[in-house]
Amino acid sequence: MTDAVFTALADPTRRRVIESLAARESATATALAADLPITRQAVTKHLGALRAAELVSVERLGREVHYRLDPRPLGDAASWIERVGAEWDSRLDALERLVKSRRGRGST
Amino acid sequence: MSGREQTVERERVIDAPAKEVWEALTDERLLSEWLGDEVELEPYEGGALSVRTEGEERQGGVAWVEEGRELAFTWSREGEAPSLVELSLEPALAGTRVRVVERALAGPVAISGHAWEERLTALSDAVTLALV
Repeated sequence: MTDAVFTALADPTRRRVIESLAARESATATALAADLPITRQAVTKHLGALRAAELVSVERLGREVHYRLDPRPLGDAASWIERVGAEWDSRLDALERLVKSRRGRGST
Repeated sequence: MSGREQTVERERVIDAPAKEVWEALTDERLLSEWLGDEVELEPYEGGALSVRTEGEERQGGVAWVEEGRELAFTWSREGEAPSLVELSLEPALAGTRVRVVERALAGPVAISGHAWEERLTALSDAVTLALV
């Protein structure tokens, strides 16, 4: 997980851009701006930040620039955090049960 | 900004004195009841650790021990990058607070504490959106 990914996702407008991009295979900044309550220039700026985080890839088709969502940087980090977090939740449950059950035995 | 920093943090207050919780963190027989199905641990700095659970095995070693208070070890599953686990105990109103931090060792440490939680919320929102 890169710092750039977190920075890119911290902005609610950029998350709207991601959402809008996720709905299509690829899109131009103009098409995205039509979807969103911001200017094409603002969309381009946000796409730049998403590119820096490698969340968005770019393809030139003639005079048009098409942007495409690449969710891999999200997937790697999110799945590790989710898996390891869930593992510790269940280990701590087991630890708590163990310590409590030994207490119970000790007091009787 | 190419460092991969992945950290998981958990806290749990257990209604028991620290001494009893510490035993559960360092006694192989007790560890085998919660950390994995079969745990071998040499609870001193440089000691070996192995944890077997449902067909998966982790190998590692003890990084440091502060008797009665903190146990830190590295471990990894076969073919995976190692991570550092810090288990620490401190007195709480209703017993003992167990704090666990697991940090992937694949990159430099870049993000700390609460900044992480905020960013994680943003991340999970974005993941949800991206998957819809």
